Amino acid sequence: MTKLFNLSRKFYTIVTIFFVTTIIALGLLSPIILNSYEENWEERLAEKIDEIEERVKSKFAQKEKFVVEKSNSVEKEIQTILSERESSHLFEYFKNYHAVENEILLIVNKDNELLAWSVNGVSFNFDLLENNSLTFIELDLFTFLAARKKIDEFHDLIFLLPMEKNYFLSNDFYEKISFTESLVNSFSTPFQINYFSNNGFSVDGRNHSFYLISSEGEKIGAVTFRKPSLNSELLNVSDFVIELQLVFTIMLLLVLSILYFSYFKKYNNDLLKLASVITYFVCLRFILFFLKIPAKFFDNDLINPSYFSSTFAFGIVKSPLEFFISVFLILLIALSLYNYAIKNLLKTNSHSSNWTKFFVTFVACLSLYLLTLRGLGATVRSVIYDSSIAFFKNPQLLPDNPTIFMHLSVLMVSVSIIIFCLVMLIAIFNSLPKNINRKNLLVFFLFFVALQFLGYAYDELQNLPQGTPFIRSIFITISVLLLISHVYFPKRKLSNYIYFLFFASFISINLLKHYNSEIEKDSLKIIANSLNRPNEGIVKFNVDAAISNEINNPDLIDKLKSGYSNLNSEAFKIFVNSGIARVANKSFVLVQNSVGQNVGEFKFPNNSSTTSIFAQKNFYTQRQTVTEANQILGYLVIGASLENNKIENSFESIFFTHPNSLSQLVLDLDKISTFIFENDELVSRHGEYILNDKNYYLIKNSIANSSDSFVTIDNNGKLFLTYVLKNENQDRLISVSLHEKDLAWNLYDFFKVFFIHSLLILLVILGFVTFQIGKYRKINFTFRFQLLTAFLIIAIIPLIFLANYFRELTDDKNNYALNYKLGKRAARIEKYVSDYYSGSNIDLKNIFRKANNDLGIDFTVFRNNELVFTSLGNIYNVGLLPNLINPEVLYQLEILKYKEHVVEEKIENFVFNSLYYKSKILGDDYIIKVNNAFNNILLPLSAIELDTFLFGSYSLAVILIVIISTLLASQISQPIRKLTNATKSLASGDLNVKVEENYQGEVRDLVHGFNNMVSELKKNQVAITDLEREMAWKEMARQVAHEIKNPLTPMKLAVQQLIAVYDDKSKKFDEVFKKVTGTVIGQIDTLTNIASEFSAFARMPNIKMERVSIYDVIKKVSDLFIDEKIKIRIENINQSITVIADKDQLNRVFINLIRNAIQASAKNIEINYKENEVHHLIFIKDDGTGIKPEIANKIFDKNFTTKNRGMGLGLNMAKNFMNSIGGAIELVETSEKGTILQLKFNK
Amino acid sequence: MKPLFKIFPCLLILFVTSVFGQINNLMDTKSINTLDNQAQEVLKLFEEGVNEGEVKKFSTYFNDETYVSLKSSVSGTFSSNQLYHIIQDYFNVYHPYSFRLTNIITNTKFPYATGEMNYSYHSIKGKAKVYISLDYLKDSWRIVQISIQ
Repeated sequence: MTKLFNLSRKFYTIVTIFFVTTIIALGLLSPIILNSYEENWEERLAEKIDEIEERVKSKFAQKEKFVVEKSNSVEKEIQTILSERESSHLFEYFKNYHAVENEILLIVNKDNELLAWSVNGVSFNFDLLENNSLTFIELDLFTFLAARKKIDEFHDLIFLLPMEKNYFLSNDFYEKISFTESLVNSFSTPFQINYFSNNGFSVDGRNHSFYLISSEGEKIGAVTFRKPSLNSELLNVSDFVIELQLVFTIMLLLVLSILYFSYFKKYNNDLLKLASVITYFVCLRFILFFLKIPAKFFDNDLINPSYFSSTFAFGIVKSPLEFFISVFLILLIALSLYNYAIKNLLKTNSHSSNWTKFFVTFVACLSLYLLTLRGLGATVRSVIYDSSIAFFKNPQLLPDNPTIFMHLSVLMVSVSIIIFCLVMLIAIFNSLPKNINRKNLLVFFLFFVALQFLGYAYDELQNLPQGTPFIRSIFITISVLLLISHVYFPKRKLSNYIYFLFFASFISINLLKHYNSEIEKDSLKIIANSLNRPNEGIVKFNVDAAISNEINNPDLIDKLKSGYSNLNSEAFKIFVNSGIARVANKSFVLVQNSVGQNVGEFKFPNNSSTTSIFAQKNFYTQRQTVTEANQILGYLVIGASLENNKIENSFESIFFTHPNSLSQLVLDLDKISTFIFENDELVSRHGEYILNDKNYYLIKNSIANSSDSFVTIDNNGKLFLTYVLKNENQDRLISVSLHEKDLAWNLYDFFKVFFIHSLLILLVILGFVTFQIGKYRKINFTFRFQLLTAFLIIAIIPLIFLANYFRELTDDKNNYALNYKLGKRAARIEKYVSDYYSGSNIDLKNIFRKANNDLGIDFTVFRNNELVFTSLGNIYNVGLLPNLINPEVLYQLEILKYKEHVVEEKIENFVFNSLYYKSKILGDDYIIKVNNAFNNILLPLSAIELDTFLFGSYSLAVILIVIISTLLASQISQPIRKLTNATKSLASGDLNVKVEENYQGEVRDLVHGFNNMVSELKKNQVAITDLEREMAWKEMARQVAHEIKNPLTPMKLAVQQLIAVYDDKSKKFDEVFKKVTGTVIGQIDTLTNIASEFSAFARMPNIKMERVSIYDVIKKVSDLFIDEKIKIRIENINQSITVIADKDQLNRVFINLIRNAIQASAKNIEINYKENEVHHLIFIKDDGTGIKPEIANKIFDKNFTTKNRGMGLGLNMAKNFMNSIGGAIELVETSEKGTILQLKFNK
Repeated sequence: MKPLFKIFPCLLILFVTSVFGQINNLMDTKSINTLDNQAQEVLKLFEEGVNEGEVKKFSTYFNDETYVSLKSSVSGTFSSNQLYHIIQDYFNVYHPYSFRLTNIITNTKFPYATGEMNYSYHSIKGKAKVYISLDYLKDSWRIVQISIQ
């Protein structure tokens, strides 16, 4: 990222121009492209049609290839089995066969009798399939690509690959299979496939048709598709150009963002930087919104407003994706504010000078704080009320994408608000007047009390306060605790962010639960209003719409024309295509032939009677003729009940009617009880709660003076919250009740959401660690890290084993309980039927029917592997479940001779357990099948509930372990860290370092030993220094003496010579005088040189001058003092400020200055930077005891010290060094409140 | 004259009573008519809004929880905020170009209406039947059910 900023401006300018030009060029080229498209349209159209045709044929060929290859491999395997064993062992093969594409395998003999089949095997007229043929075949609800192969003389293999599922269910289990739809999605044009070769082509000129030809050259079907229209193609091209422009716009925005950041990065003013960042993110959000980025590139549930949508702020939260993006940018703004607050507002010296400023800040920031807190409540409320996601209704271990996005968004918005509120509190604290000690716990306590009181008062002033008093007070407590932690430790750390996430999760889950309880109460009203509202209008509308849509249904017309005798599946398809099931408690579809006989029927619910349908009161029925070319082919009858007094929540109801008006309520309909009275008579009830007379009168009295009310009813010690609604016109009274414990907060609900949050928190931690590794290219295995890892391993591994064990145990118990209960039901049916059948001459099927009615158990009976009775006619008669017994069951019961067997089966994607029970009824063998899809079997804890509870609770445990382990590891490793830093200081030359000895045990001994060592080193260092100095002086004196002697000797000789010549009064005196004086002067010069050289030698040792970053040096030095009781802040210095100096010497200078400040009892040091034209100025400011005025001018003197043990060389050496590099060190200011020193460096 | 003085107060009382009764009757009729008119107004706005494909014309009349069933799209009960975007998105895909309410029933406690909508879906024209029902909640008419089949 840093490198990105450092790329030249020229590069970015070029790139920006390129993108802008491209966007404009695309806009200008678009009409030209469209024109050219239009001109060559005929040619293009022909090419497109050919291309689509070829691709469709290719897709079909892939299907055919699969059928051929798979059937070949199965054929070989079956040949092997048949050659070695009896054909009954085919079931062993089929029970282990795993379908790849939902294919079905059947083995028939030469008489077309079915011998063996795979799961979901179907029985039909096998004569329809010729040998070694590939064709399409329609059976009930499916259209298959069918192949038949001869395995051997006696056996044929039939391979059925489903091509179309000819119905659509809008429940959550439905699994779509549609070759047609895959073509529509691929080519974005309507397709219709006639899967029978005798169907002709479309005569509509807007369509193109072609045959599907098998590999044997047979025409087996006809495909018709709408030819691409010029308008739609132009629209596609235009959309493509727009999308391309959007992509370039995104890249342009990215480049402009980098440029923008690189510009304001250079601002010195942090407030200006912050304002720039906020402006940037806000503008970015709106730009993305108006350009519909990235929603334009998504086409899934993330942009589906039915999951979540709000009209807030012009729709920037109109879907889960838009909400996520908005909240993400808000989080970035909050983090920027947080950085600013840490850097600027937690300064110790920036106190306000007066109470007025504090008061204004207090009022403004507190208002924002309370408004923001309210905003959090309002946001979470919207997440609950404007969303169809039920956070607490159905637990899911890993929910779908929109739900994950919503969870993440809720967490992010909570974190943002916690951070923002913390910043407000920091701002208030920052504005405290100078005379208030902001680290006084009493100040915090008073502040906390004031905040709680003002929060309470604020809520009282509102009509509709958001949240609850409990949540408000917890939030305030958390924010004050965070404030205290930040005032004492004003630094950004990973642990701070973990605390934010953890607290945000806690607060948001509590708010979610609170509003969920509110909406559950509102749901009671919705249910009551729904039951109260007459259904007539919408039922009639849906029946009329269904009839008018279906009487021209080509499939229905074909089937009636062909004289099909079983059109149950057609009736079912018509039923699910209409909306009647969602609005009516009972409904039906009848297909009648031309003489009025029922040939197809589907009714809901399954157990409702269709006899005398037209005579049923409160039914709206429509009957219309189905005609073709004025010939009556048959009749279609659709009817639905107008009664609206029942809630259905059985599996059958969920399967066929959802989503209806009540299915998306957050309330679990199994937990409510409803009663409907008309003229004081009970006409309908639902649920397990029994209403006694006393409670009835209580309900009635509650609406004596109003049309509705809430009342709490006590039923055998259980409290039920009840909503009562009165409809006076019909003298109708509706009550809807919910057990109050279902509204209360409980740990299980907490874990449902916390598990997802904990995964997100762990991802953040992982991301941070990965980032650190990426930045520093290594993992720092510090002692603390090793301790933390050890704690985590010791704590978490047993948790995982325990969770696994508990889960397996519960699974086993659940399976046992389920199988036991199913077995008991099957046994009851067997006994009932046997007892009844033995004493009567009633037809067995009727006895089975009676058993179903009397015992209330839904079951199916097989004999000779075929279905003979089912109470689930709706399911089996239309082909939703196969009428052939499961091959695994046959293998277990018939071949292995077990009494009963449980298998997992599924209808659509709903998985359930079926128990098959071998039964003998009056000498005949039957197999009774009972499952837990249509029979409500209560288990103590379902697998998903258990998973949610386990994972939720253990994820909470993991996070708590991480937090506590971090604290413990920090605590334990603290003395080691202090010793490490002290050792580094020592190595840097600081002999005054000392570690506090307030530990116990071996650590205390170690610290004591270290301090002693340092003390001895210092003494020895002083002694060695003195000795060395003495030796050096002696040596130097000896050298000087020696050097000086050399020129002195000739000087003496010369003078002696002069004296001799003078005494002799020689004529050569002048000459000798000149010579001698020359010699003396020369030797004096020699002496002078000697003195200069020695002086130069006596200067400081060789130093290495290089360009060093002041910031790096100061940072490194301040890290050495990290464990000392001193806070060092570096202000306004960045890495670009460099000077030419010896790095080690510079280190020593700063170490000395900081050490002096510590020794002067300073608690805070601020190192600041200024510059002028010529110099870099570094100010070191401390809050120590200061320097006495009388000695202030001596502090830089050599050997001057105020300490008992000092050498008095530190400041002197610093001064010498600074002078040597052309700089200076000065005392700027000193008082009893602190000292400021200035270091001046040349630029 | 004396009988006149006796009869006159009776006549006066009778007159006042009958006038008062008429006023009351008129007011009741007027209030019913007003409610009826309000319902008609809401339905009219719905018709206009669907015609133009603009939900905002009638979105202020959504109930807090409204049932909606849209063919080839969502079904269920949604909040007014959600419904706004759900229906608007639906109209953005199935562009209505004409719509008329043909059957309007407002003289009932739960007024409803049906009509036929013509739309264009990827340049292909289609028809759909539309149903809307109202309920009088929180002192105004609210749309409680919408079905497009």
